[in-house]
Amino acid sequence: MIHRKRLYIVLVFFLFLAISAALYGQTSGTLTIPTNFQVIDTPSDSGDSLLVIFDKMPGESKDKSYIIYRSSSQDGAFTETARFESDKEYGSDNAQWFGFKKENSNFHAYKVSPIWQMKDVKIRSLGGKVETSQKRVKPLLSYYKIGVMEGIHTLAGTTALSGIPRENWFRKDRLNSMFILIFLFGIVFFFIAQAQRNPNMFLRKIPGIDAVDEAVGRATEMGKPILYSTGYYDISELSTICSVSILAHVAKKVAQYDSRLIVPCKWPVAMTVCQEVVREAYINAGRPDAFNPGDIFFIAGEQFSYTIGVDSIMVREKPAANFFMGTFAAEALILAETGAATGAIQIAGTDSNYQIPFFIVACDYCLISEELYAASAYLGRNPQLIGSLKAQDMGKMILFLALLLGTILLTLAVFFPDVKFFDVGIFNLIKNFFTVR
Amino acid sequence: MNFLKRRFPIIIVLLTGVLIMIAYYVPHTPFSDFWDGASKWYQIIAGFTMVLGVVSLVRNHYRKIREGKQGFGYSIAMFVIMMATVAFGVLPTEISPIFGNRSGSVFMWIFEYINTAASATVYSLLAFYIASASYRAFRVRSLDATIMLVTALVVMVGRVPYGEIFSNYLTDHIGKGLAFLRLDNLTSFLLNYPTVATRRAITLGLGLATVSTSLRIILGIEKTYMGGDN
Repeated sequence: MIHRKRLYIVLVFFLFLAISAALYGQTSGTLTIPTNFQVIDTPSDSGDSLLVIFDKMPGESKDKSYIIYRSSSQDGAFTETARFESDKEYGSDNAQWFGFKKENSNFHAYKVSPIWQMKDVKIRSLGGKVETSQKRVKPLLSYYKIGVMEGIHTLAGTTALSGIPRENWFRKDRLNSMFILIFLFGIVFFFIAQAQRNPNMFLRKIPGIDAVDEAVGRATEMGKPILYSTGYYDISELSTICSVSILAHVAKKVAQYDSRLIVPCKWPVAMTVCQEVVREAYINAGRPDAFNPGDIFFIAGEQFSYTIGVDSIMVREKPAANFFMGTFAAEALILAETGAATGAIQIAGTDSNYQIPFFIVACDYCLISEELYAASAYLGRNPQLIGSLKAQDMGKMILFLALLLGTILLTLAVFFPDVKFFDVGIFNLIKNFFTVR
Repeated sequence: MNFLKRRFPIIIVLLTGVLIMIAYYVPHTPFSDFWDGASKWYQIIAGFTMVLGVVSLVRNHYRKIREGKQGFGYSIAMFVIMMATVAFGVLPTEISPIFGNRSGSVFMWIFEYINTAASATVYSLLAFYIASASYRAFRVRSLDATIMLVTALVVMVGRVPYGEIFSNYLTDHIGKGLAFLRLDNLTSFLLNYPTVATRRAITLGLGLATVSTSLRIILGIEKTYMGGDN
C-alpha cells in the first residue's frame, strides 16, 4: 500500500516535470532571433556610437524585450550593453537618420556605444591632492550580438557582428537647415541692397518702441529716474544682447534729456557691458560728465534676490518709467505688478512665451517675442538693419505658405485616402525639409 | 584705439560666429570640441567677473551707508550676512564641522533656512500678484476683454471638480446632445488648438528673428550692443 502511494507521488512529480518542460518548450519556441541584423556606423555623428539594426518581428509587445550584447572579440565573453521593450526603438523614431518613410517602422534601430581605449589622466585639486580619472582615447573594434527575452526566458543569437565608429565630416541630416540658412543669407543681402536704394522702406509700426521717447520724456518732465532691467539671463543669450541694444537707444535719449537711468543687473558680465554701452551713449550725446557708473550695478545672481532688489528700487525711487527687456521667468509678474502699483509707465519686451500674458496685463506696452529682437533695428533706422527686418518678414511669408500647403495636403489626404500623393508624397517632402535636427 | 574698441571685437564675433556655424555642420575634430571649449572659456571668464559683481555690490551699499540714504540699515544687514556667509563657507571643515559647505555647516544652514525660505516667500507673492493682474485683465472694457473673460472662466471652471459636476449634470440630466458643451471638452479644445496655434506662431516668428538677429550680429551689421551708433 505504502509502495503504491510512493509510486503515485513519483508519477505526479514526473507528470509535473513533463508539463513544465512542455510549457517551457512552448514559450521558448515563440522566441525567435530577429532577422537582418546589422551593425553600422551612426551617420553624421562625431564618431562615438554605432547603430544596431534588425527587422521588426511578429508578436512584439512590452512584455518582450530585445537585448544587445557587446564584446571586444568575436569569441570573447559577451556582456549585456542595452535592453529595450520590443515595441520601442523603431527606425521611424530616428527620422534624422532614416527620414520619414513609412517602411521605417518595419525595423528597429538602437544607438550603442563601442568599447573605448582609455588612458589615465591625473588631476591635481586646489588642495594639492592628485586624483586619477580615465579619458577616452579612441574607439576599438567592438562585436555585438542580439537576444530576445520574455519573462524568465532568454534566447541569445549566435551571429556576432563588428563595427567601429568613424568621425563624419558633415551632418547630412542638417543639409536642409544649411540650405535654409544660405537662402536666408541671400534674402538678407538682397533686402539690404533694396533698403540702401530705398531708405524709406515701409516698416510695420511697433507701438511699444514708439513709446520709448514718450516714456523718457515723461520721466524728464516729472524729474524722476528711469529703470531698465535686462532680464534673467547673462549676455551670452541673444535676448540680453538685444536688450542691451535697446538700452543703448534709451541711454542716448536719457543723456539728451538730462534724466537719470538706473540699470540693476543680475549678472556681472551684463553689468560691465551695460556700463560701457551707457557710457558710450553719454559720450555720443556730448555729456560724458553726466554719466554715473554707480547707477548701473549688480544686485544678486539669485532669481528672487534680484527680483526683490529691483522691487525695492521701484518702491523707494519711484521711477517714472520702467523698461523690462529680455528673457524673464517667474519674476516677470512680480516686477511688472510692483511697477504698476508705483504708477510708472511700463514697457516690456520678452521672448518667454509664458511671461508675455503677464507683461501684457501689467504693462502699458509689450514687445511680443520677435519684436524684442527687431526693436534695435527699428530704432536704428539704418538701411542695413531695415533690410534684415524685411528679410525676416519674407521668411515668415515662406513659412506661412509651407504651413498652408501642408494643411491643405493633409486635409485632402483625409478626403482622398487612396491618393498617395497627398499623404506621403509632397507632404513628407515639406515636413522633412523644415525639420531641424 | 578705434581698431581695438570697434573693429577688433567685431572680428572676434565674426570668427567665433563662423566657427560655431561650422561646428554645427561638421561633427569631426577639431570642430566637434569647439562648442564645449567655448562654453568652458565663457564659464572661466564669467567666474572672474564675479569679482566685478562683488566690487559693485560693496561699492553700492557702502555709498548708501556713508550717505545715510533711506533704508541704509538693510545695507548694513547685507554686509553682515555676506561677510558671515563667506567666512563660514571659506574656512576649512578641518578646523570645525560648522565651517565649510558640507551638510550641517553654518553655510548650509544659512542657505537652507534663510536663503531658500526667503526665495520661497518672494515666489509665493506671485499668487497674489496673479489675482490682482487677473482682476485688471478681466474687467469687461471691450469685446476682446469679454472674449478673454469668457474663455478664462471656461478654462478655470473646466479644470476644477465643480466643472466636472456641472458637465455631468448637463449631459446626464438635461440632454446627451449637450456633450459638446462639457467644460472638460471645451477646456481641452481651447488648450490644444487655439492656444497651441498661437504659441506656435510666436515660436516660428521667434525662430526666424533669432536667425536674422544672429546674422546681423555675426556680420557686424548690428553693433549697438558694443555702445555707440550703428
